[in-house]
Amino acid sequence: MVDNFRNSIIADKAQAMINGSVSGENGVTLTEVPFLAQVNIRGNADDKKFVAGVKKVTGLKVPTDPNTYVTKGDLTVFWLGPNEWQLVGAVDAQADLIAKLREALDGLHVAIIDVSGNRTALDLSGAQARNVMKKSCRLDMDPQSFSVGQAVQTRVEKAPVLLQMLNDQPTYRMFVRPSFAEYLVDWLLDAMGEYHHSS
Amino acid sequence: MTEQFRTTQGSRVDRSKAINFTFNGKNYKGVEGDTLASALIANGVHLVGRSFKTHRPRGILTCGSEEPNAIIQLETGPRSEPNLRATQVELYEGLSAKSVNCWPSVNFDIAAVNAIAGRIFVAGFYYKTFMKPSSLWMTVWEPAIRRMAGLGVLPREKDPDTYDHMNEFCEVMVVGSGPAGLSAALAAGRTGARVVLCDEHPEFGGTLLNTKEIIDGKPAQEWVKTAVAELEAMDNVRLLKRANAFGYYDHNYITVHERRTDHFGPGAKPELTRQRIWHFRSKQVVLATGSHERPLVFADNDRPGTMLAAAGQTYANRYGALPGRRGVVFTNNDSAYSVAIDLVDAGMDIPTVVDLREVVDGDLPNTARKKGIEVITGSGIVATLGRKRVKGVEIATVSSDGSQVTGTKRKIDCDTILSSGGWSPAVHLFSQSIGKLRYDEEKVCFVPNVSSQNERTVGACKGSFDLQSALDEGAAAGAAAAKDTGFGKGKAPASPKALVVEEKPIKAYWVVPTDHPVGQGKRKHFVDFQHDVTAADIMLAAREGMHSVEHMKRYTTTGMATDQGKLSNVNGLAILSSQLEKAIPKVGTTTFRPPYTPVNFGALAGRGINGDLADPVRRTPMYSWHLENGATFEPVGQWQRAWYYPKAGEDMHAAVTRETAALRDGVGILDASTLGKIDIQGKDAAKFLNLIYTNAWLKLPVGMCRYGFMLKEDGMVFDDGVTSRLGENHFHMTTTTGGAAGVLDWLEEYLQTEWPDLEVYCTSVTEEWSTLSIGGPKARQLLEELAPDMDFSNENFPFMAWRDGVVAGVDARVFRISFTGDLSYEINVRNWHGLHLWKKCMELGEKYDITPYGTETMHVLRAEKGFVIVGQETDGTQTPQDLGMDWIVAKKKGDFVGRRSFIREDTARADRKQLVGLMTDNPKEVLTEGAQLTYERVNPTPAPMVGHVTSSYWSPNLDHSIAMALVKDGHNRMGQWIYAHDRGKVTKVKIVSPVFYDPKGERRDG
Repeated sequence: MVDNFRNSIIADKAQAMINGSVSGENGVTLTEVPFLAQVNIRGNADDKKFVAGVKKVTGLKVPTDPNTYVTKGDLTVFWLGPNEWQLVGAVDAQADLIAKLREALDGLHVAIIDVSGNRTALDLSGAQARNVMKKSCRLDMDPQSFSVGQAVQTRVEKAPVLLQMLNDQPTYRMFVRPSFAEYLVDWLLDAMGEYHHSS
Repeated sequence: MTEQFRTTQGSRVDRSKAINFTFNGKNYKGVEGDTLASALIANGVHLVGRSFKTHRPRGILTCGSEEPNAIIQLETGPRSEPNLRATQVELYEGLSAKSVNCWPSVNFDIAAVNAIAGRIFVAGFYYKTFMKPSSLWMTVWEPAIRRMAGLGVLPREKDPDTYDHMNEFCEVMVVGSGPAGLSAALAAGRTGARVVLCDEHPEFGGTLLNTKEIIDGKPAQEWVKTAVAELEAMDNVRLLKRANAFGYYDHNYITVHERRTDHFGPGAKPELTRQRIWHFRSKQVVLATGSHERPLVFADNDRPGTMLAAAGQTYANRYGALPGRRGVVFTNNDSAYSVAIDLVDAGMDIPTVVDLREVVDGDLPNTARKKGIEVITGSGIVATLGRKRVKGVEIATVSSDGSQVTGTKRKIDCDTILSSGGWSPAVHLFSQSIGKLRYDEEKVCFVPNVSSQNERTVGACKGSFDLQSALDEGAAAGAAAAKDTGFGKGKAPASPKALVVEEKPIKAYWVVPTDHPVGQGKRKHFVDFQHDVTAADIMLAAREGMHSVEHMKRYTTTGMATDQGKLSNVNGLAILSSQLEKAIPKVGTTTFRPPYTPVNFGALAGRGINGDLADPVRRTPMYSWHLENGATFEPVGQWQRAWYYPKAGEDMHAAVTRETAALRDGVGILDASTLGKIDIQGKDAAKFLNLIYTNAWLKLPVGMCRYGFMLKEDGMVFDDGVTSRLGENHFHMTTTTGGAAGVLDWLEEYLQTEWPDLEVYCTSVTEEWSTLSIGGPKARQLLEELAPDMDFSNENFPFMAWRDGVVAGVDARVFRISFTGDLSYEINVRNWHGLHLWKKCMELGEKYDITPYGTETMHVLRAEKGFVIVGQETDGTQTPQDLGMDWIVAKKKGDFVGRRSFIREDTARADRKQLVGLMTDNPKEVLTEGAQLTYERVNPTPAPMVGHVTSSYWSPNLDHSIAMALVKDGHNRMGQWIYAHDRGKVTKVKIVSPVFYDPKGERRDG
């Protein structure tokens, strides 16, 4: 079903993000990745039935190392806590995933919650993306400390985010609550301004 | 003007590139590479300021950030900046600066009359003079002193520049880029570790740029060039010039203030932030911060033309600017002889070096002698001549213990005095890191002793003043620091060979005597130049009982000026120790605190100060609609909620009147998305709610909702909200907007610490849902149109029930709950459908004249019904019983959080402050929220306060003002008249039930 009724909360920032992005080898771009399927999973990682159930649906074993994620195809599972994970998938995949997870995990002490609207995603990408992040986040953004496969729940300036190191371009993906999204876009565009002029 | 003092030398300036600038209204020329100070010196300008208290003429004393005298105001207008050190300001075309603390001009300063009256400005002057009568302190003395003690002036305009912050992590951070710092950075950088090298100067090289040292048989500056080139080629090394490391905190957290564009001139690089604060977190730190030369404390040692010896050397060698024509060098150590030699080579006449030591036979003094410089030993400068510029000195032999002049005076004409009292390692950052210092008797200075963080100190900062030691220690520390972070093997690369001339020991000599005992007669021995603290002041402070160095500092204000005592600290405490006849280590030193040099507030604030970047504005999905439709907004935490929607010509009162009428007679729509929402599931979910809420939850049927109170352990109301049973083991909880995060933490804390046996998961879903509240008698009609497949009849969708369905074409969950008292539905749709649903409601509701309403109308409507708002009617000291809500506390269900506290004497007593309604005698009078209440109109003092107004509104539906209040024993006083007080105004009010409207609840079904 085509969903014609949905609106990104930062739809009116789209042009500003295009204007604020800097093309070229030394550039940095900011784009929204809206409407992704997001499912919060609670459960016991020591329970083999739980782990097997999630794996059956997603093809992925829930990660138990703090601040990591695993990916297969469209699906990514983020570690959020010792008993909490976030499954992210393609747009509109949530209903099917939830149904299958509930079936696979039936009878276990779990919670499978549709949180697709609870956060939207922003991709900050390009050669200067790391510098923009360094202006915005108090964690070590260098590849020695934060590499593909890692994700942290932190703040980008004053916005709480789930921050994913998506690829080596580098691309930082920020899952942010919609209410903070405009602030976060404004902050990042401001931080990108310097590179806009220098390229 | 021509640069009469510019030589053909000067290794770091480009004489072919002239730069025009203005100082105190006069035009001058400098050259590229100059600082403002070096350009002034090249033009023969030494008189650059007036001292803080006595307004004595002062000249350029140093060549760095320790400068106490050459404090200037740079530029005018919004970019004007006060209290900069001319020794650090890089010259740019068109620069305009003026002296501070002088009026009308530096040459003729009216307040210099203070210098004549200088005798009264003794230690503790402020304390002694302005204490009585104490009533005058705030009104007369303090403002007057502030005017007199003016440094520069802050611009009143908004700062047009921007500033930002950067967070950086590294393995090895090296502070200072002299020989030790460069060596350390090279050694660490070669291991591949992330290395940062920062320096407050515009060029790397430290003192090697000021002197004529030799490394590997070549000028040291060639080695600097090679080293910097190698570092620049390393991807793993970040080099920061013009970057002052100003704070060293726990966990090797170091803050750096980088001046990015100042050297281009004001506004020249609008695309860049002007300055940047770097937050470095480094696994290992190497401090190579060098040392400061100490001035000697001698009679009238503040005449313009008096300069630190090494500063004179720097101006000549680095900038090609001679400090004067004829100078006398005054020293207690060998280092000043290299100054004398370099200055003679630069073309200055240095007839004499006056040395306090009796035996002077080092290599450097002997070289000086060979150049024809007279070395006078066992002697001191006992007087200086001149006022706005040194004209000469009087020298004489002095006793070895500093007590008296022993010989006859001899006069030497000169325009410059170059003094060296030895060197103090710049231990500021080391001390900030809580490193412990040790006093080195031989080197006559404090040196780092015990590190308290992962830090190494090298070179002059460690008291290793010779070049070879600096190079060796730097390389060793850099390699070892890198190894400690897992890079390299820790073996220092071989250092280059420095040409080292051995120096003979320094002689500690703290106050040079003059013809009168210190403090008597007219001559002044300055210790702290900027604050006009003299040796006599410190001696007086000691006599008056200020025996602690911290007391002495505050009593005399030594080290409390903008230079933070970089020059005066050691001299001051040495004088104190000699007065107390205690060894210097026993007296100790004062605490070093950040910042090392002043930092702009703008830089500290960064970008997070302007408009939307200052703090997140949290917006609901319908925010854009509210904005476009003229809503005013109210901050609720970080949220901006629509407050009311004024139509053209309406004020708040008119808008709220219109909105409330719609809710009682038609249909209104509210954006309630900000309410906290928590998904609760697990086989023990109902049991958990039973423990958390005061009322009973086990038997709530699926499909139904219930209102609940949460208490803290003390029995006081903490949060409230409606929770719905979605399934046997699944609930949807709502919380207050402001309480959402705190409630989730609270639930998690209890689950993790008190009841880990319960199988329950709680997850925040606040922003998963957009929430629209549609209320009023016509709400059902609208809902039926919005969701034709759903049954909204009272029978099938009763009050306090919820139903899933499709509303306006999207999946929705509809709750029949009411915060207005009228028929009301709360529709939850996924966040991204919120705007669509809102617009659809407005479209279909147009025929019913659907009215968007904001938080103000919501507050009025709920107050008419006597519904409390947690946080407005409550402040953490109200029980449910206090609020008249005894019914919500289950008597038989067993334990819940807070229950035990109900038997506490104070919680159980009958006359607690209780929630009541208040009606004013005059229906039009609206009480002030927060107004205090008394039982009687006239009261004794202090008046017995019996409560306060918590909410107060004009109620259009009742055509009467209404108020809620907490009143002592209020429940037993229904119908009684009491008095509300608002800043002198007394209003008679009647205690009534807080339910003003529809007390039987007949309107909720529509």
